[in-house]
Amino acid sequence: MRLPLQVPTLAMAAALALPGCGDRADAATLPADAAAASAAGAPGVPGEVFLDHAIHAGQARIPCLACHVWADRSPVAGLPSGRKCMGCHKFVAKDKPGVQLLAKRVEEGRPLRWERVFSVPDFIYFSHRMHVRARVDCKECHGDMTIARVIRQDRPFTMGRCLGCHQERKATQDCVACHK
Amino acid sequence: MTLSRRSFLGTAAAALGGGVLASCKAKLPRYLVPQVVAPDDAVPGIARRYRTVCRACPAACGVTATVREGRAIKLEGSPDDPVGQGALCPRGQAAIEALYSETRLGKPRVGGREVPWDQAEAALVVGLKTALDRGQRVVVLTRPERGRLGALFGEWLAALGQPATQVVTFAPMDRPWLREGQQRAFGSAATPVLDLAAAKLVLSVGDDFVEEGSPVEHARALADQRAAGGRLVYVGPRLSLTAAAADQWISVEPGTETAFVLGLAHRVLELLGPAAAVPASVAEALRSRLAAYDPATVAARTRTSGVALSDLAGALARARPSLCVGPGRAVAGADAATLAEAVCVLNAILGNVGRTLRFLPDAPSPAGMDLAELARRAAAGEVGALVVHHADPLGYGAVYGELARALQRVPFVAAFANELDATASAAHVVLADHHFLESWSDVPSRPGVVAVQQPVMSPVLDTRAAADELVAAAQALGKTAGLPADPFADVVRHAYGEKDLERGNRISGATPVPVELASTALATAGEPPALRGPEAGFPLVLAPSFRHLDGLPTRSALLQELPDPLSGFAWTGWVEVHPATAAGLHVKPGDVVALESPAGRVELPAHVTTAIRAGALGVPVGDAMALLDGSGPIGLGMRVIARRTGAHVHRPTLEAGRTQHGRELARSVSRSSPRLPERAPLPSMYPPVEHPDHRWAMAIDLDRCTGCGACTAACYVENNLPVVGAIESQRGRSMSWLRVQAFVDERADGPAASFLPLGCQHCTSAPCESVCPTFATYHTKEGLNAQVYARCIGTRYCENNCPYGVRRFNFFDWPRTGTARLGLNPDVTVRERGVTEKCTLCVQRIRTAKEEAKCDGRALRDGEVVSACAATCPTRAIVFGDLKDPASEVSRLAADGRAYKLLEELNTDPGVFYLARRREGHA
Repeated sequence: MRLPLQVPTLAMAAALALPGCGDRADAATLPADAAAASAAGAPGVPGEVFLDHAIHAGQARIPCLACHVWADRSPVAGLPSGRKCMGCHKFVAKDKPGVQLLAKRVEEGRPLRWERVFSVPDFIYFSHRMHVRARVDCKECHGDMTIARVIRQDRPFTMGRCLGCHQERKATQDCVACHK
Repeated sequence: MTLSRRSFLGTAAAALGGGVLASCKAKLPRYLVPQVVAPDDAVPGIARRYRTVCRACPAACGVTATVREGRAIKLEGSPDDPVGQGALCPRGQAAIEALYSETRLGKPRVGGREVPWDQAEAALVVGLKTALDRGQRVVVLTRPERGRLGALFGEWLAALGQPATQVVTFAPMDRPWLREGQQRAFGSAATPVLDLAAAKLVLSVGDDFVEEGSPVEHARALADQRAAGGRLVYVGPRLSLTAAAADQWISVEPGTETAFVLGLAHRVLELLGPAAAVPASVAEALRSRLAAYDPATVAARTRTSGVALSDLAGALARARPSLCVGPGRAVAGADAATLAEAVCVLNAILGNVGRTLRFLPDAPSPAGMDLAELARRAAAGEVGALVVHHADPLGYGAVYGELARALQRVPFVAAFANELDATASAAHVVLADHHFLESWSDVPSRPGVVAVQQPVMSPVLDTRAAADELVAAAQALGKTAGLPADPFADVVRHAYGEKDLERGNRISGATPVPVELASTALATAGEPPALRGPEAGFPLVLAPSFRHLDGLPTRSALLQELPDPLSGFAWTGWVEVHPATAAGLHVKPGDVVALESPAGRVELPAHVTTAIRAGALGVPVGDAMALLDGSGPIGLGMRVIARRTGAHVHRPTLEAGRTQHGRELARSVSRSSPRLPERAPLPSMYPPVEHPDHRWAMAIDLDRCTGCGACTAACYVENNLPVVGAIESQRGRSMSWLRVQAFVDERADGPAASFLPLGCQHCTSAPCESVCPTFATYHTKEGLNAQVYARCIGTRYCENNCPYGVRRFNFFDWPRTGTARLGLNPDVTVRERGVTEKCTLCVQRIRTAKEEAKCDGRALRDGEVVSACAATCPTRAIVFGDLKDPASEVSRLAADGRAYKLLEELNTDPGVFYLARRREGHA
């Protein structure tokens, strides 16, 4: 079997071809006012506020597009603005530390920042609106948010997975439809 | 065990390369930061477009700025603008680069050091107060500002208790001789408006209107004129872009152009007789004044053939209407005003006034102080404070030497600037101004048209609006009488309605005013003064260039990297030398030549070409500035000594040569029968390729192309092309996806230039595709030759096998750092080292348009997808569209008798096709 011989060559090639890729974003420390709120949420969440999708999408049955308003209008689904959150949280769950931090921030005009969980490489063009229009359910890629407390990307965002679905639904399989 | 290629790669990557690959993912931002309050009408991921006006040159074309996520990423012409008419020149395209430039002034400076704004403002107030307390003058030196900002300068001076006329306009590339000549000929200061498109014959007297003045507007008009059967004749010493676009180039001895035009007027008067469109008495007076300019004498003096002059006079007399324009910089010597007067007279005799040459009333502008008066008063110590607003007189060396020396006597100079130019470097206080895409203003671009400049984004850097800083200083001095209380932004905004902002301008219209030829016309025409400088020197001909629209070598790396259309030089100036002259100087192409005049010395590589008259030297205006002495206009007038230095530079060009070697790549047809011979389709070994829905294609009309290079510049900005710099560019590693290949071929009637915009040809049977070992390049169902960077391993086989030489290899990563990142188009990948790239036919625009159409539930319309090059082309030479749509413009052009494909004999069946240029006397 020739595989073991070839692997080091390939790894070397990969290492040579991809220098400068390691500039990982700084794991910035949390602002002081966020530390307490974060500690009150689930452990191990490095965002400023722990947001429980199981409560929002599950218990409260808020549809995805109610908050991610651009998913059917833009390639980008987007996150709700601070003011949009306050539309409900002016009245709801005001005793929670996360909500209190949110209210404080909106008052100050400072945004909250959220940990990024889902991403495609930046050489890929992905349009949310075309997938929403094609009636691809959000959960097919993002998982069932109605039961998810901590969000994880638990299904692979690989080209194979994309193409599998595109084949099944007879969607475009042209490379430059996605490779930008 | 069977192991597919993909799973093998996957295993290998996971096993060993995993760490490296995983780290690549971290390039994406780790956090998502939503807005606190989302604007109702801004959707992330969707481009927003705002109308504003380009201030890269005084022509002031209306533009549409594309804004993504709050940052301007592209400018395109605004179709509602009467100047640019939907197109934009290379300089306008490079404005985005200037906006995010890392050399841009991002903070105010006092005494050469960056300081916070409050300190800079305090320094400005102190400087002004000292001048006022001493009873000295405060003067504003500004680029042309004819709108509300210009008015505000006057009001501000008045508030300080100064004469409001102390606003000096600095416009080095203005052409004052045109106004003076018109004043002498017609006794009128009205604004001339040229209708090139309506003229059957245009005579350009060294006027390079395709390169300077209002290049977009005039190039478009010229292309329309020639398409309608009109002709252009160019008289001048140098084959400029305008001369290259002309049907005939008449090369005259530099300095004798006036005699040539007077000779024309003489002959035209003879031919027209009583039909001359001037009163008989005036015609009689002109006849006697022009008596000495008979064709034989003139031909001898101008060293042209008498036949050319007589033929031209005959053609002018027959073509009704015609139009004579100029004189331009290439021929404007010390007697430029007389030449301009002669051109006016010619127009009057030919009856062009009121038809192709109309005059619009100019808004009365207050008689301001001029540069000479400023220099005089400053030298006399009368000026206590000078406020410079986007003007750089110190950059022009000896041309404004007197002013520069006088300014040293001004105790306080404050400069509003975007870049630290020579004047700003010497100023006591430098106030970092907004870029035009970040600020409000208005520009009366011509009588009856005011272009509204509105910000398209919030400022990138810590800059402030000049007007507000001046008003704040006046407030600090307690002198606010007559000044607006509101910020300048509000003053402008409230002056215009929603509709004006949507259109980008307000058009009130203007009624032409009648003018008549003065009876004294040409009464003072005499012998032109001899050229200045050493007798043994060569006449120095200035070549206008998009790089040097303000007369200085550009700061823009993008414009530097764009090869000059005719010489092919990038990143350096050059001197054009005729082969006969070069032989005398023992100069070979690329040899560095030292040019010396009494004013200065420059060293430039030689471009040996027949595109310049023997015995004259052509130098781009920005590089020639150091040779001028300032005693005449920035134009013709100097003689320079040329010497070989012994140094040599390798000419940085992407092309193999300047001639077509008879291969007819840029083809031409005769004007009388504009059809190429039919060719039978060649047999192919490959199965036919089907394009079920679309076949994207591009038509490039060589009859319209002037070689300006706007397409190349637009491509750089749209597709995130890196600027590689002088050294790599010289190694042929420029990343340009679309180059304008120029050829200068010798023909019986002299050199003929042709331009061939050359990008990926999107072949149906592409030679690059069959040699790619990773299938990184392939033919899509829509006819694109696509390149998938993620698959490319950089063998460069494709580049080697491409017969058109249009593929580019990334020898390096070209990182965009700092603010330069903000100008990247988010829809286009920034390519990494080791991959090949090339024109995609703006696949991102196709993708977006298809998505929009699908969301609207309709089919794509013709003209909905426009590639960046086609969108910006000043002459509409490039048309993009779908060949599967029989009604599309591109399908119509494909059926034209002039249509051909490049290297057709290779049977690559490209999706890009050309329309042959119409030439006179073509066999």
